[in-house]
Amino acid sequence: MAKAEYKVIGTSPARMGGIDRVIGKGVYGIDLMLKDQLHGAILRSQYAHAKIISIDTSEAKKLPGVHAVITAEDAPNVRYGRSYIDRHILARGKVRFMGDPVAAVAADTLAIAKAALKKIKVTYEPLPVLIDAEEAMKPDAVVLHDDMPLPKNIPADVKVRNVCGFTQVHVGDPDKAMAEADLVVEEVYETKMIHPQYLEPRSAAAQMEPNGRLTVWANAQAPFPVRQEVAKMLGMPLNNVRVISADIGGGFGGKGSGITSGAAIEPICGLLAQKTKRAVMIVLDKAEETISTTIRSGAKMYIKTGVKKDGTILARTGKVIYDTGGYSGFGVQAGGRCTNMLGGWYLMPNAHIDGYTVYTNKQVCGPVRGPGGPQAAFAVESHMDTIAAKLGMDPTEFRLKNIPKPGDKIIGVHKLRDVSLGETIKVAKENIGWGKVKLEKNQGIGLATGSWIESAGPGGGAIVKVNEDGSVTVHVGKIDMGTAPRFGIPVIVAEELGVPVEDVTVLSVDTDASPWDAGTVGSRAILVSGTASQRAAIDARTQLFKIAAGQLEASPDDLEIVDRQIRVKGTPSKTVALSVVATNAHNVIGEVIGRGYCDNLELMAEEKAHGSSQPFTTHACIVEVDTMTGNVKILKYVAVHDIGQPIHLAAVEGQIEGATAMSIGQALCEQVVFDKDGKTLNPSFVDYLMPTLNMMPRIETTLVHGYPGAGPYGAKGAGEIACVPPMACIANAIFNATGVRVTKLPLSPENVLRALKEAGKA
Amino acid sequence: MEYFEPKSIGDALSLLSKHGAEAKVIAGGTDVMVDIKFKEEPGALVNIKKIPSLAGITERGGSLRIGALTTIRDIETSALVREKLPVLWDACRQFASLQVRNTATIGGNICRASPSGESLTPLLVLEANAILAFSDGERSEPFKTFFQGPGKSAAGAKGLLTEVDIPIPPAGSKGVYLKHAVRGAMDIAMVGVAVMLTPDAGKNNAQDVRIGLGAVGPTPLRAPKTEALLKGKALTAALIKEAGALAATEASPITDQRSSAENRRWIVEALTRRGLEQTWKAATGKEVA
Ligand SMILES: Cc1cc2nc3c(=O)[nH]c(=O)nc-3n(C[C@H](O)[C@H](O)[C@H](O)COP(=O)(O)OP(=O)(O)OC[C@H]3O[C@@H](n4cnc5c(N)ncnc54)[C@H](O)[C@@H]3O)c2cc1C
Repeated sequence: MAKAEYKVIGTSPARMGGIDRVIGKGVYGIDLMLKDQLHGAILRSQYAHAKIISIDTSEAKKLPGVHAVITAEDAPNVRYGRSYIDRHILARGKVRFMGDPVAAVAADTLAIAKAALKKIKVTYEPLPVLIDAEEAMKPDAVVLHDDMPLPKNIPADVKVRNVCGFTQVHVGDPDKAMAEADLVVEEVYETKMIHPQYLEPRSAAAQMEPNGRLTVWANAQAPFPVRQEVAKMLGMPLNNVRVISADIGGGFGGKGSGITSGAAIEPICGLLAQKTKRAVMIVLDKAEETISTTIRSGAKMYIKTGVKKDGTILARTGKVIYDTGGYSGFGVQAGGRCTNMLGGWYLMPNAHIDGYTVYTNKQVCGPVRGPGGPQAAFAVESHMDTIAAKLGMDPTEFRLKNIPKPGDKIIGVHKLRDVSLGETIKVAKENIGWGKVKLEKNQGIGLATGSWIESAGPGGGAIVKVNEDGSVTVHVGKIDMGTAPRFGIPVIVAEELGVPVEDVTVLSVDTDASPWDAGTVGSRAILVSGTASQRAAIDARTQLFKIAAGQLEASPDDLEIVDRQIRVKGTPSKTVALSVVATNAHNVIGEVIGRGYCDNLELMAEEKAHGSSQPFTTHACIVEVDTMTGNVKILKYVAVHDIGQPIHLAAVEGQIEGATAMSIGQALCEQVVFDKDGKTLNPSFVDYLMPTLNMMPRIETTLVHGYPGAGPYGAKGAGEIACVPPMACIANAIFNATGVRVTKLPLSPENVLRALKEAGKA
Repeated sequence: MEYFEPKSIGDALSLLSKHGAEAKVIAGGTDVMVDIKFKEEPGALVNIKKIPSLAGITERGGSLRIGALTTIRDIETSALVREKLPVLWDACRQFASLQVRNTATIGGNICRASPSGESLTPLLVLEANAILAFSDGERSEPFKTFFQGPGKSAAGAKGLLTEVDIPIPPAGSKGVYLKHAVRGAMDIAMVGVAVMLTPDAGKNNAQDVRIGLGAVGPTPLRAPKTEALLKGKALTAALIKEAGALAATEASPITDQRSSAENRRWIVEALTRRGLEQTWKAATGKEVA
C-alpha cells in the first residue's frame, strides 16, 4: 500500500502528553498521594538460599508509628506463577535469592518503616547457593524447589535437576546431515544477566474502599493479570479488586508483574492495605530494584553447524541453558524462545536443539524486551561470521545464500509469508559502506541480522466513544510506556474518523472500565490494541453515518468524514459537522460507542493460510578497538528494519533506537555481577554500567517497505526486534578488526583484552 | 546529626577536637553526601565552605598553591595550571561530569584518599605537599607519606587540609594523565597512570621520569624501579616496553567488581607505555625510535 493513501498513518504527530513528560509535569505512580497514606517497605532476604527457621516481628510491631508487620503467615497459603506455580506472596519456609521478600511493614513514615525492618528478626539456616545454571542442572546439585517436578517432556534418560522448562527442536536428520558436511563449526557463547533499569522506580499503592473493595494503583505493564494475581493472593473475589494503571516511566518488560510473578509488589501492598485499613504506598529504590525485580536472563549456548563448501547450511545442533533465577517467572517462555531462535532464521533443513530453563539462586527472569532473542542472536549471528571466515566467504554472501523465500519454513515458524531479510542485508551493506569504506588499523566492520515473533496470541478489544464536540475518547487494555497507546492509536483513530490526532484521547487502563488485555508485552500493542481501535473507530463511523444519513438525505454508504465534517462523497457542499451528529446521537442512541476486537482465531487462520509475516532486520557497524586496553568505540551504526507499515513514524524510529541502545549497553558494559554467595555487587548506577552518551553512536535507522504485517494497515510490532542483533553486530566488527572472537558478554575492555591476550594479539 | 558552619579555620579545628571521631568535614559533599545516604550519618557535620580564603590558585616562589576548597572545574579551566602543571590539568578534565566537577573540591578528593582519586597520582609525581592545620599548629606533609590507606590520610580525624603546595616542574617537562574506564570520565577509574618526563638540555635523554599509579594499591603509588630504569636514557620502543612490564610488577592491585587484578596489571603496562610515548614526544619533539 502506498503511503499517499493515508491521511495521518505513517506521520509523526506530537505524542499525547509528551511535552508534559519532558518538562517534568508527567504524573507517575510515585506522585500519587492518597489520604492518610502509610509508607510500605519490604524486608528482603540476606541469603541467596536458606531455610527460614523463624521470623520474630514483635519488636518491629512495638515501634511507634508502625501499623502493620506482615509475613507469609498473614496471607492465604497459595502460590502464583506462570508456568510453574512456585512462588508465595512473601517467602514461606525458604528464600531463594538475595532480595526475595520475607516480610513487609506499613508505617507513618518511610524512616519508621525502614527502622521497623531492622527490628524484624529472621533466623536462617543457610543452604548451598547455586549461581551457575550449568552447575545447578547437575544431577548432584542441591534442589531449590522440593515440590516442583521436572518438566514432563524431558526425555527419561536425561538426568538433571532444577530444570523447570524444557524445549526440544528437532527437524530432519541432523546427525546424518552433519556427517555429510564439508565443514563443521562448534562454539559456545554466553550472555550475562542485565537489569532493564527503567528510570522510574516500581511503585504500588493500595487502599481498601468502604464497600470492601480494594483499589490498587500500579505502574505495571499488565494491569489485568495484576488484578487476577492480587485477588488470588489475598483470597478476594476478582470483582472486588480494581487496578488502575499509573503512568509508567519505562518498563522494558521489567515491570511485568502479573505476567511473571517475578517482582510483584502489588499483592504485598494490597495485603498491607487490608491489614491496616489505610492507604499504603510502596516505592522501591534503585538498589532494591536491581536486586529484587525481574531481569533479562543470562544464557549459555552451545552451537554447532555443518555447512557445504559453497556455504549452504546443512544442519544445526545445540543446547541452551537458560538461567531463570529463584522462581520460574517468565523463564520457561523466554528459554523456549531462545532455544527456537538458536536454530536461526535462515533455511535450516536439519536441526536438534535442547533448551533447559534452570533454577538458580538469583533474580527472576522477566519478559524483558525480546525475551530469549538477544541472547540467541548473539550466538547465532556471531557463529555465522565464524563460519563465513572458515569458509573464506564474505559474511553477507554466506547469509544471503541461506535466506528463506516466501512460503519456506524456518525453525519455529511453519510458513513465512514475506521475507524481507535479504533486502535488509543489502540495504545495511549499502548504508554502512560494506566493502567500500576504508578501514584504518584496528578498525573493523560487522553486521548481524535478526527476526522476532509475529504470531497469534491473546486477543484484545477497544472502545471508541465520540463526544458531542466531535472529540474522541478511546479505551484499550494496553498501558502506555512510550508504546502504541499514545503514539499509534490516536493516529489510527484519527485516520478512520477524519479528526485531528489531538482530538483523540486514549485513557489509562482501569480494570473497572477498560477492555481486558494480557499486558503491554511482546511487541503486541499495535497488533492487538491497534487492530481493535481501528475496528472500533470504523464501527463508530458506521453509527455516525447512519445518524447523519437522514439529515444529509443520502445513503450511509455514500458518506465520508473529512476535517471533522461528515459529507456526501463527490458533493462537498452537503456536509454536517461531526459535532452536530454526535450531539444528535443523544436523542437517538445516547452516544456513539464503537467496539472492535483483535480476534486471535482470525489471526491464526490468516497465519495458517498465508504464513507468518515476521519482521526482519539487519544492523551493521564500524568499530575501533584499542588493542592495548580492550576499549571498543563504535564509529558508525546503521539499523535497517522491516516493521511493515509504520503507524507513527517517530515512535517506530524511537523504539528502534531505544532497543538498539539497550542492547549496545548489554554488548559493551552492562551486567549484574554476583559474588559466590549470590550477592549483587553492583546494585547502583555507580557500578552497574549503563552506557553513557559518549559511548553511543548515532543510530541511523532505515525502514524497508513492501512487507505488510498482520497488524492494522500492515503494521508489525517494533518494540523488541532492534534488541536482537546489536551484540553480535559489534562482536563481528571486533572480529573483523582483530581476528579475535569474543564469545562472552559484555564486550567490555577486560573481556576484549583477555581474548586478545589469549590469541596472542595484545 | 548536628550541623556546623565554622567561619574560621580555628573554629573548624575546635569543632573537630570537640566531636572527635563523630565529626565529619564536608566540602563539596560529592563523597560525603553519598556516604550519608548509603552508609552512615556522622554525629556532627562540619561544613567548611563558609571559611574564607580556602579557595584559589596562586603562584608563589617556585610553587603553585591551590586552596583546599578550589573546585576541580576551577583547576581544569585555570590557564596557569594548564601551562605549569599539565599532568594535574589532564586529570581534572577526565574527572566525572561537569556538574560534579563544579561541586567537587581538590581538598575533598585528596582527603577522601581513594586509591582511584583522579588528582592523587598527579600530586604524587609533582612531589607536592599537603598543608595541614591542626589545633596545635600547621604542618607541611609530602603526599608521598600523606596517603596511608583507602580513606586514611595524615590529616586524620582532627586535621584540616588548607592548601596544596606544588613545586612547579622545570620548564620543558611534560606530563599526561591516562584514565582507564569503560565509559570515560564518568566512571571510577579502573586504573589511572600519571607520567611526567623532563628532558635534558639537549632533549636527547630523559633527565627525570616520574610515574604514578592509581587504583592499583591501597594508596596511589609511585613506580620507583621503572623510573630508575628510564632516568638519563633516551626512550626507545624496546626500553618503553621493558618499562611497561616493570611498572606492572610495581602495582599491587586487587580484584573487585570493576576489574580483575590481572587486567589492572595489563592496563598499568599499556598506559605506562602510552604515557611514556606521549610525554617523550611532547618533551623532545621526537617519535619514540
Ligand atoms: C557522580 C560522581 C562521580 C565521581 N567521579 C569521580 C571521578 O571521576 N574521579 C574522582 O577522583 N572522584 C570522583 N568522584 C568522587 C568525588 O567527587 C571526589 O572525590 C571529590 O573530589 C570530593 O570532593 P568534595 O569536595 O565533594 O568532598 P566531600 O565529599 O565534601 O569530602 C570528601 C572527604 O574529604 C574530607 N574533606 C573534604 N575537605 C577536607 C579538608 N579541607 N580537610 C580535611 N578533610 C576534608 C571529608 O571529610 C570527606 O571525608 C565522583 C563522585 C560522584 C558523586
